[in-house]
Amino acid sequence: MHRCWGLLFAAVNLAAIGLFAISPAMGWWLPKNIASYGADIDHLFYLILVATGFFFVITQGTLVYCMFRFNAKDGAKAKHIHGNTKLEIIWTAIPAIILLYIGFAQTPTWAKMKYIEIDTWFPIRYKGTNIESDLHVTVLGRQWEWRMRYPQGHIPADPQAWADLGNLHDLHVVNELHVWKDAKVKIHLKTQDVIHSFFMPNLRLKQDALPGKVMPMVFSPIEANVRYNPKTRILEELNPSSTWEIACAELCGGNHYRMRGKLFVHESKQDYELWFSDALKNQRIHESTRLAPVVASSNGVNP
Amino acid sequence: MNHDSNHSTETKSGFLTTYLFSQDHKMIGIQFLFSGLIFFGIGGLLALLIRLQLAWPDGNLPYIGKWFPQSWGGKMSPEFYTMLFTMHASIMIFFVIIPWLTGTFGNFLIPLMIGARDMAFPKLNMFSYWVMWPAFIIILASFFVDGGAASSGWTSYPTLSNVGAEAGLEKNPVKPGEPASSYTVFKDDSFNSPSSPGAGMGQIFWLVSLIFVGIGSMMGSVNYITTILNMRAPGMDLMRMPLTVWSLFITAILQALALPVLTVALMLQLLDKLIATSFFLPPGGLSFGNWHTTPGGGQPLLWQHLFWFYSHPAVYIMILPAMGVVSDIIATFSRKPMFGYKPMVFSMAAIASLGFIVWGHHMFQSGMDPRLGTGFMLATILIAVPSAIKTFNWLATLWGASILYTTAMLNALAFVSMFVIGGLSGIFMAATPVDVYFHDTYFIVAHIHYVLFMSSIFGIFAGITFWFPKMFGRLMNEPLGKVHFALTFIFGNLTFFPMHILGIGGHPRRYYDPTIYQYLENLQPLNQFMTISAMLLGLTQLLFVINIFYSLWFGEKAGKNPWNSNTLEWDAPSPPPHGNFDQIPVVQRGPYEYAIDGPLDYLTQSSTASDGVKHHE
Repeated sequence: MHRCWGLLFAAVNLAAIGLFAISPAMGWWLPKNIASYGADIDHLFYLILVATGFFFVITQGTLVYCMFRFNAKDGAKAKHIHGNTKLEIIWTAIPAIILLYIGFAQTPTWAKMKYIEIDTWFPIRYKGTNIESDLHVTVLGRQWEWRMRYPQGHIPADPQAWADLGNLHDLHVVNELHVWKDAKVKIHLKTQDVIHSFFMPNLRLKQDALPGKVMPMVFSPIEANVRYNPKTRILEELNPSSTWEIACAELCGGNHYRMRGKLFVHESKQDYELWFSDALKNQRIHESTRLAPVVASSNGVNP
Repeated sequence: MNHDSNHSTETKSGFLTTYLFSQDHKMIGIQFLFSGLIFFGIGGLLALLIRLQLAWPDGNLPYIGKWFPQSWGGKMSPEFYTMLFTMHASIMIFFVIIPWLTGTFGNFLIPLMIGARDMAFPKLNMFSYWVMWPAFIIILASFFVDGGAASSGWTSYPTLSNVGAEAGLEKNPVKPGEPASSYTVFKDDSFNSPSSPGAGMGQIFWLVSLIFVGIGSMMGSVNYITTILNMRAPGMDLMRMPLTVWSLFITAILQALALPVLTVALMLQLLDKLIATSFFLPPGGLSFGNWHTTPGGGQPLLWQHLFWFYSHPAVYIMILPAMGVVSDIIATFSRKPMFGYKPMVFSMAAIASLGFIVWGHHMFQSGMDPRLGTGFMLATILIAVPSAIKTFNWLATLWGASILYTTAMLNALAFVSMFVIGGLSGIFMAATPVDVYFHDTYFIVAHIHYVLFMSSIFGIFAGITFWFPKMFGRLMNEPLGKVHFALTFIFGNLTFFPMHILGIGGHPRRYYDPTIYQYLENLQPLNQFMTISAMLLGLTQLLFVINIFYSLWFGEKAGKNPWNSNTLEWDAPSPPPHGNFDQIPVVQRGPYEYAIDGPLDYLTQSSTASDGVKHHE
């Protein structure tokens, strides 16, 4: 009986490793990466997976070995040892070095995601930001949808002011984020009610929308999934399995789960512009039947 | 602090003062044990309802469906679901794990293990339990108030949680031909919130209840610190204290420093709700559809800083005592001295002090400056070092040991094994770029359950089994305990381990129905598998309850020292009388003198026999 316990621990740990081993084949794994910096993140994930996997095997292996080997019922005699300073130093230093390596290895990726310039020699020192974008989009979260606003000409004259107040000729779309391949996109993320979090799994990107603030998000997709057909006025998927979704990752009320959006990466800037002009025309037709344009006000009582 | 006079008057007390309004630290510890057990059941049932919804999100639940109101269409409403996970987490954290670890172990063990007759302030100690009762009643009552219980998550982030309806403006309906809309002052005395039904009265109840919990824990921690510093038996130097006492001491300091911040934050949010202050309401105000708040002057992010400044140390409050308990149990049943006693103490102190500067790692995506994230990342990475030291020392204690597989030991070994998983998965989240992806996914849910359920709860099971004979004079049933352990270990892992995979797949947490997302579709079989495992895990816990109540009356009678353990509590009779010791013991040595050559393989802390062992530290 006493030997079974080591077996139980061994079996559970092996099952854990087994689940990780089969998951990629079962499709239970990271969604396809389409971000310019995404490969770096995935690389970092695998680096940590290897490092933690190594310590997992070492520690669980030692535990299971001890459970088999040093058993009172098999007559094992305990040794009177209170400690060993040399060992303590070794097993403090090794994890510390590995962890510090992981710590420093990630800062360039973090900087890339946030578009910060860093010091090459001491990568936790920041030198400044370098955000220059090809396309600005304002995303406004509300219970329970994302409202996207696109400027004419892609880059507004004063992005900050535009993000706050908008422009009369902006294009308004709900739950659809349109960008083009390799565009440097800057999103101005806002919310009019509670905290939401704009999560695009394929871009490995997530940012909370904070009431009263405009949060910047920067990314550049390296792959396209749609083409606009101006004749049929339909967005054609390039590949049946390339639906890229947007989710809300911060609890925002009962229908939190329903803030589903879609990310459309057009093949080229021209393709995006074809879609944009048609969508804007369409919006104007609808607007003429209304009294006032729908301008989602960013915050509060500001009629 | 002259307890002896107190002692003689209290022995004549009746039922009420013995069992209910007791000032005896042991009875207070036992009270915490049983109220924790009740809430463990409630919190567990809430978890099972969450799992049911996740496995079969389209509703139509067999049997259970008809419990829900007709207006919900025979299934759970999304609002009800948000209430479930909010209350599950709040109850498990504030009414089960913290009360069990600090309330039960802290109260019961500290005076016994340091050789004191009681706590420094027995009356304060009684109050620390009795302020929990308003908290118990209010949190349970909150299920039945208008709008239901709190539903903003246990983190209760504004502005989902703090907006009240009593102050605001409502937009008048736009009439054709009128370019601008007008507003009327909105009046509502019902405390309803426009953000969600549970953010009204339920949220107020939640806040008040937690303020009571906070006050109770404050009283407890002041008592623990004073008792440990002032009332140790002669010879009990700080560096001779068992690791359980060290862990409870460090936890009490953490609590005393961090809890006031949470209590204040709760009060600020309560003011936001009750009298429409705007500590967490942004200057521009908010609009919920046609309804607008008045302009605020605060910051929603302030809450997150205040909340996590407490709640990250709280994570250590919820694990450090379990680490201490497990250390003592492992040493006892390894029949071997604790390997690296001093590194164990220092690493706990390091975890506690680093614990105060890592709260920002919950907020990498919150809108905090990305440069600040790097600092929090480095501190978080560093906190893995003392955790690793502890793990290696436990393993080194087992190396060359003579292991006795008692139920307590098995639970303690499971703690070590599971803490490794919970600790290692934390490193993914410490890395800021990877955390961007994993934040608020099931990877986090896996991590927190490996630390809090699979580690802390195994530590608690180990501790309860180990000290049960001291509490009640009877041993818990070993075969039943082992069956309970094995099943919990298996089903626990089957329930929580696949959550890592869900997280890697990008499954967000707190989702009522994940199946509407295409990228989550093929994760659904895992969700169903976990739900079935979770139900079996829940059923297994009945064995623990049965074991406790069976052993209370029919358990094998235990002598003073059933485990041949060294620490002072085993010098006292089982159960110890009021005042604990016939004579205050005099401490001769540290707590881990096992593997001694002689008639016995151990030397208790108070034994006056010469140990005949050369000490090499």
